[in-house]
Amino acid sequence: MTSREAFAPLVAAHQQAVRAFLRRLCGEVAEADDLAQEVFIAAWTSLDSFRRGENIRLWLYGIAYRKYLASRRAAGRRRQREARIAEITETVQNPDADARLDLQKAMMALSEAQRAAVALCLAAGVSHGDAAALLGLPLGTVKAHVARGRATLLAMLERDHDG
Amino acid sequence: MMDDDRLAALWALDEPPARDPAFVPAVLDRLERRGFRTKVVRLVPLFVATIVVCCMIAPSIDALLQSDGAALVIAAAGLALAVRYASGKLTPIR
Repeated sequence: MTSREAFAPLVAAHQQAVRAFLRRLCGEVAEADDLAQEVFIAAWTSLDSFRRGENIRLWLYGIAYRKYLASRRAAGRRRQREARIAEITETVQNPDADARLDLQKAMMALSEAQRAAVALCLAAGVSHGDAAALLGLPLGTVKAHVARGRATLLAMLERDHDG
Repeated sequence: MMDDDRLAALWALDEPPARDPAFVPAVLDRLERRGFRTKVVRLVPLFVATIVVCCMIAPSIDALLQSDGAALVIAAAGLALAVRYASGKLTPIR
């Protein structure tokens, strides 16, 4: 077995969590999955920097968040994504997809930091302390982001549900 | 708590599959291609250097070919050793 093949179980074990986190950040499945592949490639090339005893999932979330921020710097990406979401809005009909789209739209209404904090703490079940370390933010800021993000999400979902 | 349950249910709709037979090979394939590209990029300077060296020693070799055969053998052996040393410096990419 080559060392690359030995890397496969790690990818298999964490792909769901990394892809889910990126889907919540990006709001777009194909872009999130593409970034997730980049995350595992980056993880492979920087395995030396992984400290024994460290939580590997948190380490991968950290790489994912940095990859996401780097991808956001690419010009025009946001505009493209919004155009795609608008396109989906017009074509999607089934209730599950509607609900998913409502959540996606509500997530995209949050600021980047709020979205990341919500995706980590509420969706992925990461502790506030770990999220603070991962995002490079003070603990109080993360708690505030989560509380405000949650309130915004619920308000928007309620509005969409009523409308 | 009801609200959190509702959010959790909505997120569950967007959850990627726990086992995705296509994702892992896609990552490994991408890793393989990335490794190959890196290897090629690392070989380019060696290739260019080899061309430059060949161009530099071409006149001497030409002269040797027309004069002394023994000197040519020594020069060829030296060149072979140099190439072997240079290729030994290349480490395989993980």
